[in-house]
Parts: sequence; structure tokens; C-alpha cells
Amino acid sequence: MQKLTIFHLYPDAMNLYGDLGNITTLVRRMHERAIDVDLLDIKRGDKADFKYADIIFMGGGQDRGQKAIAEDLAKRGKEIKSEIEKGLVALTICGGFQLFGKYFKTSDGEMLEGISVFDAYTVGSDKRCIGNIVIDVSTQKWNSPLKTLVGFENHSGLTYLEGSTKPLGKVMIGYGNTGEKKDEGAVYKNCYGTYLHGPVLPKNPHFADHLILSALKRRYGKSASLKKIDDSLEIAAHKAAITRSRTAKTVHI
Amino acid sequence: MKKFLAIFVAKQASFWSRIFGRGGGGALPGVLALRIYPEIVKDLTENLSKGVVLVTGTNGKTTTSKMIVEILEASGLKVLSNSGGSNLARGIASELAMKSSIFGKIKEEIGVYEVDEATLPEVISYVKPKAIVITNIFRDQLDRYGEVDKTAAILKKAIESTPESTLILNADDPIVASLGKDKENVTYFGITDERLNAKSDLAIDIKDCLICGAELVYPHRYYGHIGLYVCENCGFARPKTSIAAKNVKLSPENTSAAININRESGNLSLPMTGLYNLYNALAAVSTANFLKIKSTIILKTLNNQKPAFGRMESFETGGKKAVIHLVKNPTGFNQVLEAVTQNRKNKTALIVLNDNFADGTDISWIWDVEFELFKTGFRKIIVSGIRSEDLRLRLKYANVTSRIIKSEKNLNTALNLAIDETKTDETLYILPTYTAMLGIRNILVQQGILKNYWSK
Repeated sequence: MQKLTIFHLYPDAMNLYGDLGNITTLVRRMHERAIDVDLLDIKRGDKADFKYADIIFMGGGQDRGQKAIAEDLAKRGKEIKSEIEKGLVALTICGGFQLFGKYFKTSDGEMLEGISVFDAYTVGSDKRCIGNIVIDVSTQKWNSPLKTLVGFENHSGLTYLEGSTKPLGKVMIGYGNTGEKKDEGAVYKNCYGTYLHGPVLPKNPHFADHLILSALKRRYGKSASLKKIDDSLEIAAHKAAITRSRTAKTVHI
Repeated sequence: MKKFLAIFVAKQASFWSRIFGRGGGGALPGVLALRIYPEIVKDLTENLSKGVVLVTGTNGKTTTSKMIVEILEASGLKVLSNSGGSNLARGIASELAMKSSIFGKIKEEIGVYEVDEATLPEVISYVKPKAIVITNIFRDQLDRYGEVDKTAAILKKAIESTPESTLILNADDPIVASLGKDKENVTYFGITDERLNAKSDLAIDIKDCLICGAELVYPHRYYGHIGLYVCENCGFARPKTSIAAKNVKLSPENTSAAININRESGNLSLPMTGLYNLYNALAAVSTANFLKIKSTIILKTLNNQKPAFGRMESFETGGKKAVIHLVKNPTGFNQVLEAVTQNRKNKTALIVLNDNFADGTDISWIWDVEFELFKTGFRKIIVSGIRSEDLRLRLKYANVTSRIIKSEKNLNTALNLAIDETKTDETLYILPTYTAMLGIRNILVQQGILKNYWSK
């Protein structure tokens, strides 16, 4: 039986907006394919050897949560980075995404060092990017008829990409990384960053499956494949979210 | 003159709104009154001889305010309140304009207003409250307020702008309790019962001390981040309470506890389910006690409570029982589910998820709700609302069998279907978000099953 190990980074401090639903989704979609799952919660100070991880996940958090874990994450930065260079699959959302970049300079001028997996930096701003978001991910070679990602964004940090880090997609509806350019999220090797909550994976089953398949291939070789499963409810929710994004009013603080 | 005009226009707006069957007019009269005369709230509340009490917090504002109002009325006071549930500044202005004479005279003696957390600073700028009651701070409509920390910061700043006001705070919520730190006129309420323990680890909003950032230790956690806690680093701990409940007993229809008011012991026996309603009652007891109401009146009123608008409102149709529980955030929903599942009989559910502004436009919070609890005891579950597809998906990932789930976008059809599916000895639990609750009540009012909330 195939088995994959998920490391969930800082589930206690970085757990906003139902991000736990991403873990629920990964686990269920693996179980449906008879893939065994080991799920490990990694908290501040816990021992963790990232060589054993197949997928790492880090969600969003409040400013306080982010500050509380930044130092601990920095200590693990080198190890995580070296595994990502070797193809480790990672999904980071919002606050997690920001700390996988070079740094986050908050709106009150404080500097939070990131672990520089992404060639990107984040600057705090006064405006808040809030609302439903739809991005075009047709440039990603994911084997699916769905070419969009849907979610909900809520961030005041603006993230600028540089060098070899590519965006995850192009904004169709919403703000994305900066609210100015059309970029949303970031991709480096198998490491993904995005501002999409919602949570992102349940309504975007093609993205979830791409993460699982990438991890399978890394662990079990290129011939690994993923059995098709019934995604009618996922696709219905995906489509409904696109329709709603066109009509729902966005509110600014 | 402006005052006169503002009151006149507001009264007219409400009158015509009722004539055309658009409800009590809700916030519209207030919007107009505030536009004509921005000082209207300040001006009219100065006529209240016993001042104003403001009730805020994420969950329980409406129920707590209703309890306070009824206790004060039972003691013979004439009370003004925004009982329609429009808890923004314009709702308060509406109520004031309705109740005052055209010349701005008010016969009431005290005002009790529920106020949205984000609106508190604005309301305090109009009126210096005698007391501010804070029930709890949870994740709510984060798209509107930002984050839990941000909500706490808004409340902190608002409190500091009115140092004469007495704070009545929930001791068991560390976010709320931290607002009373180093303050003089504070009184706390809470529950001391070591047999109560949280069933769910989901949706715990904070785990760190708000004073120093170290992890809080919970010898007893009741639900969410509510419980008995201590910070081993800086010593911040759950404060001593002046109103405390002990020996808590929870049943599907009743919540009872022993309670001390001014060293007199009494029994609270609320005809409502759920620990959260006990907290609402404790907030009301503390407030009434602060206003020097006799403990016998307090307890008698609470023990004869009827639920507030859309909060555990029950009705019968064709011999079938149904209960409406407003759900608007993960902690509230989890608490309702915990209470509902105490009814071990077969039951049906209608869950309605909308994402309009008043509901909160971000619906990701449903993934912090323990939908797994729908796996047992429910014979049929109908999902509806603007985001019914998201509910349906959430139920799938909670491993609730698809055999018992039905999606129906049309609210009218969904409600009828849910009632049809409920057998005579069963209860239908209707779990709507805010605007969905209004929609459901409208349908039920049209069918003559429920009354308009303003025709009291």
C-alpha cells in the first residue's frame, strides 16, 4: 500500500478561515485512492525531520500568530529549502505564503524574516484586499478540465515576485498578490503559495490532486498515477463560486 | 428644528414602511434621522434618567440584551432598546426617534442597546454609557472586522474613550477578560464547574496570552477558548468573578445552575439549551445586579425566558415541531450543534448558508464547524441558500452519507420539503445564517405560523 506523510506546520497558530479544510481534503482524496496517510502536527519547538515529509502545509494566521512562529520557522528554513529543491511538495496559504518569501515588512515597520523559498517579499499596507477571488491557472500543466481556482482572499500584505518565482495564476476577479498586477500566488518547483482561503482545496479538486500526484511521483516514481473519483459536488461548488464572485459585493474596512 | 425634522421624517418612514408591508422599517428611519441631525442619539439619550447600557461581543448580544430589558421591565423601569436586532448606530437612532415625542421628549428611564463590535466607538462618541457589557469575542464575519485581534483592539480603544463606564466582562474569555486588566470599575461573570469539558478542538481562536504572547494553559476548557485559563509566563489568569455559576446541568430544553448574587444563593433554571445561553444569562444577572435590581426579580425573569428573534424560536405546524437556531460563526454553530445533538431522538435539519453582507461574505468558516456531528441522529438534511453547494460539499467531506442529504436552492421549496420530511414525533432543526433566517421567518409569517417581530 502506498503511503504519504503530511507535515502540518503550526496548526495551533496558523489556523484561520477554515484552512484546516485543506488537510481534510487531502486526507480524504488520498483515502479514496487507498493511499495511507500519516499526518503530523508540527508546533513551535517540536522535532521534525523534513526528509520524511511528502507534503507540507502551512495555513494563514493573525499577525500575532505569524510573529509567534516566524522565529521557529526560520530555524527550520535551511532544511525545508533543501527538501523543496529536491521536489518536496508544499502548500502555503496567506501568512504561510508570506513567510515562505524573503521577508514581510508589516505596516508598523516591523521586519519578519522569511525562509526565502520564494523569490518574493511582502509589504504591509493600509488597504485590505477582501473578497471572492477567481484566478486563471491554465498555464499550469494540471490534468483537468478546470482551468481556474476559486477562493476568498483577505490580506493587507502585498506580495511582490522576483527572479525565478512564477505566479500561480492570473487574477480574473479579485485582487491577488498586490491588487495592481494580475499575479496571484507563487510557484517554485513543487512549492505553492497563495492568498486563496475558502479553503482552497475542497472547491479546487484539480489543485488538490495535482499536489497528491506530485508527492506520489516523488516518492514512488514517475509512473505513479491517480485514479479518477467522482468530483461532481466539488465541480458544482467551484462553478457556483465563480458565478457568485461576479455578483457578490466586496466590502472594504 | 433639525431635531424636530429628523424625528418627524423617521416616524413617517416607519409608518409608510409598515403600510406597504415592508416590515417595521428597521434601519431606514434611523438612516434618515442621522442624516438630518447627526446629534440625535446624544440629544435623545440625555433624557434617560438612569443612563444607557451597551451590550457588545460576537455571540449572544441579542439574547443578553433581551434578558436585561425584561429584568429591568419586571422591576418596573421603563426601558428603551433596539429589540429588532438592527445593532448599528442607525438602528439605535431609529428606535429613539420612534419612542420619543415629536418634540424629543422620552418617557423611558434607561436604554439598553446591543451594538456591533465595530460600531462601539461610533456609538460611544454619541453616548457615554453607564455600563458596557461584553459577552465574548470569537471569529465572526472576518471579512468585515479583519481578525479577532483587530476586534479586541477596536473594543480596547473604545473602552479607553469612556473611563467612567463600568465594564461587565466575561471572565472565562481571555480576550474579553484582558480588556479589564488594570481597570478599576470592572465586574466579571463566569462559570466554575470542573465537570464541564470541551468536546471540540475546532475553532479555538486564541491559544496565546494576550498580555505576553506565551501559550495559555487551560486546566478546564468549556468550549472554543472559553474556560479556566492561566498564563504561566506572566501570570495573567482568569479573574475572580462576582457572579459565578456552579453545578451546571444541561438538557435539550433547559439549562440550570446554582448562582450567587450578593452572597445570596439562588437557582437559575433557563428554559433554553446550551452553555452559551448560560453565559448570556450571567451577563444579564451581572448587569441587573449592577443596576441594583433585586435578585428574586432577576431569577424569576430569567427562569421564564422566551428565546429572542430567530434564536431558538420554536413553532409547530401540522403537529410537527421545528426550532430555528441562528448560526453565524463557527463557535456559535458548534455550540448549537452540541445542544441539538443532546436530543437523541431522530431529527431532521434544514441548513441555509447565505453570504450577503449581513451574513459575512466569507463562508470558509463552515470548515471550522463540526459537520461530522450530522452523521448520527439525523434522518434527513436539506441544504439551501446562496452557497448551498458549499454546504453540500462540506457534508461530503464530513462523511455524512449522501442518501440523507438533499439540495434545494429555492428557500420556500426547501422549507416545505424539510417540514414534509419531518415526522410527527420528530423535531426539525432550522439552521440559517442571518439573512437566511430573515427569509425563513418571512415565509413563516406569510403562512401565519410566526408573528412579525415588530408587532409585539
